[in-house]
Amino acid sequence: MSTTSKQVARRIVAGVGLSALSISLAACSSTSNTSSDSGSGGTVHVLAEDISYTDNWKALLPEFEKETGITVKIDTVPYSDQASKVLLNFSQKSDAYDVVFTDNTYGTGYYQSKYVDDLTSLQDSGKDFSTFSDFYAPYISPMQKDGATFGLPVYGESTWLMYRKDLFEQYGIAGPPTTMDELKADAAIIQEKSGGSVAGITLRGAAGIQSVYPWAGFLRAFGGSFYNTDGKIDVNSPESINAASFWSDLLTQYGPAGVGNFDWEQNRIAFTQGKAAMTIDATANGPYNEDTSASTIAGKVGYAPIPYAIDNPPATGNTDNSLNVHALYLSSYSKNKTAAYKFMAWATSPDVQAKAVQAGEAVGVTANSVLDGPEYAQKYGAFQEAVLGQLKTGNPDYLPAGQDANTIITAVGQALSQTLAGEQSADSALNQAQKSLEEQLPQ
Amino acid sequence: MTATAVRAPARRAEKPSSSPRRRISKRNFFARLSLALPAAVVVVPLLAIIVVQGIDLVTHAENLTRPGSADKFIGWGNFTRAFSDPDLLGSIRVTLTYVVAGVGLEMIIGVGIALLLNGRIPGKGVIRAVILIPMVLTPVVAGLMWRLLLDPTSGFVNYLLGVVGLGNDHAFLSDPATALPAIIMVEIWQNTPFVVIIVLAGLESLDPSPFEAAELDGARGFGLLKNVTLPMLGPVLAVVLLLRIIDAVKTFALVNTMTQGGPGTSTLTISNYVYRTGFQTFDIGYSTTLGLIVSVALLILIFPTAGRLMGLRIRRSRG
Repeated sequence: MSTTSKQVARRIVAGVGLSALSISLAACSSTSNTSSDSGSGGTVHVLAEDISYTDNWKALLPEFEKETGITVKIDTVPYSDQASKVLLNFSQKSDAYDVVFTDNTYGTGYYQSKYVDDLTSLQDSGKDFSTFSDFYAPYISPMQKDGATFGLPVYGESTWLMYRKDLFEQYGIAGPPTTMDELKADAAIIQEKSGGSVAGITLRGAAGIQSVYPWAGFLRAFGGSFYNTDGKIDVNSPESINAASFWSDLLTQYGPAGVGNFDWEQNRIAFTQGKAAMTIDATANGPYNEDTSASTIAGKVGYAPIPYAIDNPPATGNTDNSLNVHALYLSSYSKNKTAAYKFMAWATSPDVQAKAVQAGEAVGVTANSVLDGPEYAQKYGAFQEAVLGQLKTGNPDYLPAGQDANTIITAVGQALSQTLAGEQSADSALNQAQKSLEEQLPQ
Repeated sequence: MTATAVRAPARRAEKPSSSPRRRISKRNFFARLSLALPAAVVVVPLLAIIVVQGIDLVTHAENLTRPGSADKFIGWGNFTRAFSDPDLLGSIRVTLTYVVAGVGLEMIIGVGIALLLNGRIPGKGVIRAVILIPMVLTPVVAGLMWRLLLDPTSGFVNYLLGVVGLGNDHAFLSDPATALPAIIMVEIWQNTPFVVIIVLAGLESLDPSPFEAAELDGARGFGLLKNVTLPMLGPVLAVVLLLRIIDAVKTFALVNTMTQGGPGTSTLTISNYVYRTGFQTFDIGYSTTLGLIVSVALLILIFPTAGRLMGLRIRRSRG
């Protein structure tokens, strides 16, 4: 058996052995494109997140298809299953999907692994729709490395502190906390003065990316990072341990019941139902807070930067708020790259984004002209300035990205969950995570 | 024709003789072999490929996020890593607790209910149908349903506890002391009906004469149960126990929907850990190794039980 066919066979077995998922992928891969790579006509297959931006594309697709003669097929999968589906697809060198829409935490890894292409040479073919300069710079820069641009941003977000202005006033707290100590003290005041009916703070506590995403802000607030200055993994630094035990104490003492299982949605609901006075989470939560049909606290929420624990916090660089982008990537195995790029340029074009703002929930749009437009201001005025402010200071290296991202996030997420559950101290849980990571990651 | 008659010529064929019987038996042998052929054509290559490629995966450090890692040969590396992996040891402990507590209670409760239902009871058909409901739910649905019922803020269980004055904000699934017992409770709720149905069928098919004889000898109540009913039910109970153990060791969906292994690693079962390494960190080589270790361990544990079971059956049919 030759090396190549052996490798292929191994990949097939890896897929079959692990999941029926791969069977459907193999089935899809047989329906490859027959058209030549001319950029006009043909079919483009897209694997997309199941989110309002995708719904907007689906509604507008007939126009695009009529204009270009390209047929677009969009498959959506839930976010939590997406990474594995994308990766199985890429590792089998399948051309089942020409374009994938996913988190840049993974996208950077796909580019490192050469699963997705640099788009620079294709930019001209889509310039009728959009060019790289149409995007708000902080949103496209995470997908730009060494002169290459490997993704087009669909939506982005940062993180911030959301707090109940009415409760702060009622209990005599002057304003949003500016240090982590103040944050803890404010949480204590609210919990005590409300007799425990309102929790001081709510955060996502579930293992994995759920808790790691907001916690990475605490890590930076205490001056830590996932890596040391040599770029080696360093999740058990003193700063990291301080951040984990502060985070865990905060939730144990002032968090709502069941916080250990809270994911993004449960955390958001706890806050919008008035069960907690503060939360630190994504800027995408803003519209949910102000949605009068589902939120009991619309108009009562203040938005502020996440406080620091260290003196002299950085204004840029290792800041404690995220800059997280979800983008479209072009598969290296696509046989119809020009047409695929045209779809990407169209889907992220200012026109399509403007319609997303009109049609539904689209606080994370990425085009300069839309962000500065009157409709955006009218719809998201309550927090527009705060969002843009957080984006400007957002830390593009907030989460570990690239090939090792999942491994690091899983190990740290487990350590956090163990600390919060009281199974282990922050110290020993993070030491164990560090040891496990040193074993798993190539040195 | 009895089994001995068929076996005799086959045994003779092993001897190097040129008697006419040998040709017949040879033809017989190929005729039999040809019957197995269609199945063998499908099963053997598939098995061979899986075993060969499985060995390949187990000895390499393949991670889907790193192209080229599939060519990195590490020999026993995955095994040495597994045997010093605290998460694997923890997940084995969790799985054992789950199986022993879950299946043990299912058997006790299931046999108890079956004994109560045995005999003439009004509305037995309806009761049987109602008992089956938890069993027909898929574990994902059961898990989600119970997660909602156990929710600390809006769950019905907490409401009930609040009404009787036991407090209404118990976060059962995020407290490591109660998360695993809560999942085991759902396992029992869902799978006891299986035990009830099979044991009840077994009870109804028992020969009534030993019971009549024992009653004539003065056996009553618990003595009758212990000395006559349960021994006669033995083979049925063994089958149920075996099936429940095999199923419980493989549990995945309940944990994945209710806690995803958390809080911490307090409910992380083996299957959930294998899934995590395979599909969250894409460590395919290591994940396959874990799957292999668990499968082999289970086979070693289960085979003697299964063999004894079959022995029991043969003895019964002969007697």
